[in-house]
Amino acid sequence: MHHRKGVYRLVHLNVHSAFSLLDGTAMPEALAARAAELGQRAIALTDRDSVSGVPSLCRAARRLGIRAIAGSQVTLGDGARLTLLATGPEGYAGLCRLLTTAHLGSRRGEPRLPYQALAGEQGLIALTGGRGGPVDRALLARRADLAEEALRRLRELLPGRLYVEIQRSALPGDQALEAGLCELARRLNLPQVASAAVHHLRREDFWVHDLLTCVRIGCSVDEVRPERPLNGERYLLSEEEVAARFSDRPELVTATDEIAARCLEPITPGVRLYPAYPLPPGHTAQGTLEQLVREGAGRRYGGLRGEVGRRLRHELGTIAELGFAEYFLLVWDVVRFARAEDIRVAGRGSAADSAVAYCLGLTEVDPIARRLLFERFLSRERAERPDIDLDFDHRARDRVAAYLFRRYGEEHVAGVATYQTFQGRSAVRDLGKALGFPAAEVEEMQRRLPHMPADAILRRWDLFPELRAVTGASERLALLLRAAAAVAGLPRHLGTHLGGLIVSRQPVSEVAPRQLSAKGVAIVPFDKVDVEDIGFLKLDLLSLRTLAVLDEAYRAAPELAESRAAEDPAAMALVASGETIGLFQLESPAQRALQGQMGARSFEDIVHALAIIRPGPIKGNMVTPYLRRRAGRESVTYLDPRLRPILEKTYGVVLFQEQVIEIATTIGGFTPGESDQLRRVMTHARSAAEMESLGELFCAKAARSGTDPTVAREIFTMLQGYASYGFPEAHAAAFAHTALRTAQLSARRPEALFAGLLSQQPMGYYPPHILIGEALRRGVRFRPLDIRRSLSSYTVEEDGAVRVGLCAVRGLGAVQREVILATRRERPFTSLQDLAGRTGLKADELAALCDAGALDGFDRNRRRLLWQIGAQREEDGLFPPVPRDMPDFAPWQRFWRQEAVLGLRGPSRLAAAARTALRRQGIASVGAVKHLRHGETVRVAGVPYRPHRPPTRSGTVVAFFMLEDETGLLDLVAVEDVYRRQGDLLFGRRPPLLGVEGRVQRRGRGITLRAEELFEPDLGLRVE
Amino acid sequence: MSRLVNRPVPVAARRDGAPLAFSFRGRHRVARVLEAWREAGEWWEGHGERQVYRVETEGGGVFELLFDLDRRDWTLTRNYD
Repeated sequence: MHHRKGVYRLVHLNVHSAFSLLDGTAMPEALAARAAELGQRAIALTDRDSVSGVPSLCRAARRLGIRAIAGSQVTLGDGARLTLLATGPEGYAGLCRLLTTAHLGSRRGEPRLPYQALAGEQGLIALTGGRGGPVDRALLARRADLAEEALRRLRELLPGRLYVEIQRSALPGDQALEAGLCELARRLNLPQVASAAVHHLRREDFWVHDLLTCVRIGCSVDEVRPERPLNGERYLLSEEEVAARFSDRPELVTATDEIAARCLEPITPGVRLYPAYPLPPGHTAQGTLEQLVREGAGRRYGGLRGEVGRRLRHELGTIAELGFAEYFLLVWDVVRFARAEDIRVAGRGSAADSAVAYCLGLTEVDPIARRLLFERFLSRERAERPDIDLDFDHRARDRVAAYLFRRYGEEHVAGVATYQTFQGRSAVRDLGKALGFPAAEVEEMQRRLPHMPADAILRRWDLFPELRAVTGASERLALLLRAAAAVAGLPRHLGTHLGGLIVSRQPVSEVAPRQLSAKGVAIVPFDKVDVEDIGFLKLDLLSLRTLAVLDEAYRAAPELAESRAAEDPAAMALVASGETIGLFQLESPAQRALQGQMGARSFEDIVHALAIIRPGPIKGNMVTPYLRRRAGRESVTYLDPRLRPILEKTYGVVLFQEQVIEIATTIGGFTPGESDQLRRVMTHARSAAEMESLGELFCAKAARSGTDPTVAREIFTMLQGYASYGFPEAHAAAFAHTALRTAQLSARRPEALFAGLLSQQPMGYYPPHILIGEALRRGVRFRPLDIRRSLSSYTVEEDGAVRVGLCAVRGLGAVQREVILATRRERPFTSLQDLAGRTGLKADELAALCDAGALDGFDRNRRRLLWQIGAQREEDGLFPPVPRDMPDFAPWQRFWRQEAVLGLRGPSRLAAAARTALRRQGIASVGAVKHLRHGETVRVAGVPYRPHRPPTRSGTVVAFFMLEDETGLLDLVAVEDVYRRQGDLLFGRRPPLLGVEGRVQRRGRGITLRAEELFEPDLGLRVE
Repeated sequence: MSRLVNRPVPVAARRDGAPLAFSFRGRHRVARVLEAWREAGEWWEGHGERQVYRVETEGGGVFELLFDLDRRDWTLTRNYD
């Protein structure tokens, strides 16, 4: 390499990563790693109108010991592009300001930066931008005069900070273009610099860039389009390669080094941009926090004696040392606002490990009683930012967000983005189209594909029979699967994080660009990891519909609102019965089956149950050993005696994230940092390689402390089995409280719970007709919709019956509902004419109300009402006189129409209609199966519901689903061999009714049918 | 104006790959390379990259010659009037 002074040391200054969204194929980390590997000492990132990749570039560069240069290729007012580089933190702030101007001043998704905005930004260096730049564009159009004008203009805007960018990417016209640029640069006395305009990592990745470009501009590979790259020259070249391209002008390569020398790292690590919590003069944040905690401790613990005082002093000490008092005050303030506004709020996540959070009323779990360690939430060693997640009643979440905007100022608060990455389905959809697959075929493949990473499809293709049925093996298909693997995990577009908000001490645009989300909210284009890296304080204001359900239910059952649901035996007995449809976190088939077997007796059992039905423990095959040991049918053994204190309370099974960390520290001797890395790798289901290297570290460290290597390996395998997704104990405990609240309501006041659930649809696991079926089984009585009585929600009337709410009517919006209620408050409706005249409802809205039965009070004959609605006179809005002799709909028609408009047309009606034919084929009803003994064989048929293929440790595919008919729901499982033979019936063709022959399996009170054969029954229905 | 030719032709080339002479209705010696660029072929059909040269011959004609980097053969693609 030429490292003599005065000769070149190449730095790439025009680099596009995958954050150029469909215009780059490599992640910033990979680009930085390759640059370091090639011996380059710095690398810039200049994504299209974005700096989203900058935080990850900086992290990677720091790790690799090279310098990150922040930049962006911005789109100017006339659509031309300019490469901008930040000379340091100030320049980066300027870049953020410019990007904010570009994004907020233009149509969403089409940022344009006015030329004039460039004036005065001292911290930026500009390169002319290559063929997309204003100068090159004019030269390519053979307008040397306009090119000169453009270059003069840029020189005026960016004096002493403008370079003419010369690219040699083997494109037609390169020589003439370069000659023109040289001539202009010479005439205007501007320096020139070499550039490779990197869009992919290596030459051979060209095809991925081309394919993504096709996705971006919406064409197929067979179409010729000027936007598509012509060749594979725009990769991350080595210095030798660039030097060879510029062998006649080496000074242009050297110029890259000179520019890089002017650019410092843009983001200072460890900076904290937390807002100041407004305090009265003379008060400190820490002092105020301590005062609030003392008051809270009085309420929660009756004072600060003994253990409580010690614990709180310890926590407050750590908080003071790490400087997070203001953060706690800010969260406390949000919760206080919510409570004052009667908005239901609950803290979740590891914040429940903190007694300070408990005393401040942020969480409902007592960490001292549960012996939860504060260090899992916040520790001096990890010194990472605390993360308190708050759940709000979803209807009020925006009000809470608005409070933050008011309190800290519009300029200081913004939403957080999510990087929506290519997953299996999105990759197949986009790339399939670009590769020219017929639209219908792409749609079908996408529909049948289970959720999985895009790079897993190739590996697992043969496991999914329903995919093979769509498209035969072909070279194009092989290409599609390879392409999906190549784009796996690359960002496709930015989304908006549902709950994340940042609050900043200085105006957000000084540190991050702002742009508008699809909903019109200002967001920063960084995800939640990156915003914390930049130093923002992040709050998670999550929406939880269950809180709205509880709010409504407690209005109907106020006597339960303040009761201790966790100690109510009726609540526990209901959960133990397995009849948990409608219960928060306990209603899925897997939970119902578990509850049937487990027979919960205590709050702890519920905490365990919530933690065990997670992909982690399920994949780790931990459910059966847990149940057997709990029931005393299997002895609890430990691979190492040191595991006993950690795993004793969960019968030797790893259930909680905290246990993983404790095992890693106790057996593996992991430092807090290493343990945390392990937790991250596990929770994010990252690469197998990363997990393997942690495993080696674990075994090596364990061996050093005297653990038998075989035992160490086994313990790590156990942890690995748990990998991918588990709950922290504190989080499970917080959720268990909410779950038991719903259980108590279901046991004591089911009408209140189900009215709440039905009013908040869609939510939970089941559609309304299943909830109604369950409510009826639990003795709830329903009253029909009535325009004179129904409110917007389902409401519990004085005698305990539930009146169907107007919210159930499809085609009637929230605004119309409000109009109806407001008008009715003036005086009751007396007739169809009165209703229509005073509310101004449209014909289709009136018809929907009529079919729903809401107008029965005006006329029992719905057909006559509908005829009237249809014949309403346009000129005066009057309804013509009713033909006296018009007969009503037949009862079944009335019913059918009603169920359709209420969204209740239970698919099970089909089973009812086909019942005679089914019986003739020896097919039993779902209800009948519940009376069969373990091991008996039976044939049933019903509408398949929620088929899914959860991950299993062995990698085999097992399908779980439910069948519904007019008698109820049944849980089924199809093991791999059945699934592979006939999975197409379940995930692909999906006949209206699915027949299953299988064997009854009873475990405790739970019942499952193990499918042996799937078939399509003859429905015996004649189509007329 | 240019005409599509798309005919395989024998070419004598320099060591760096640039054409020196080719045969197409007689022998043409290349006076100078006007432009050279690289194109990805239809990769989705399994085609590889090719190098394209627009040349002026000693006789004053302008031609486009394409060298397929995978197959290592030459095609005369265009003839400019």
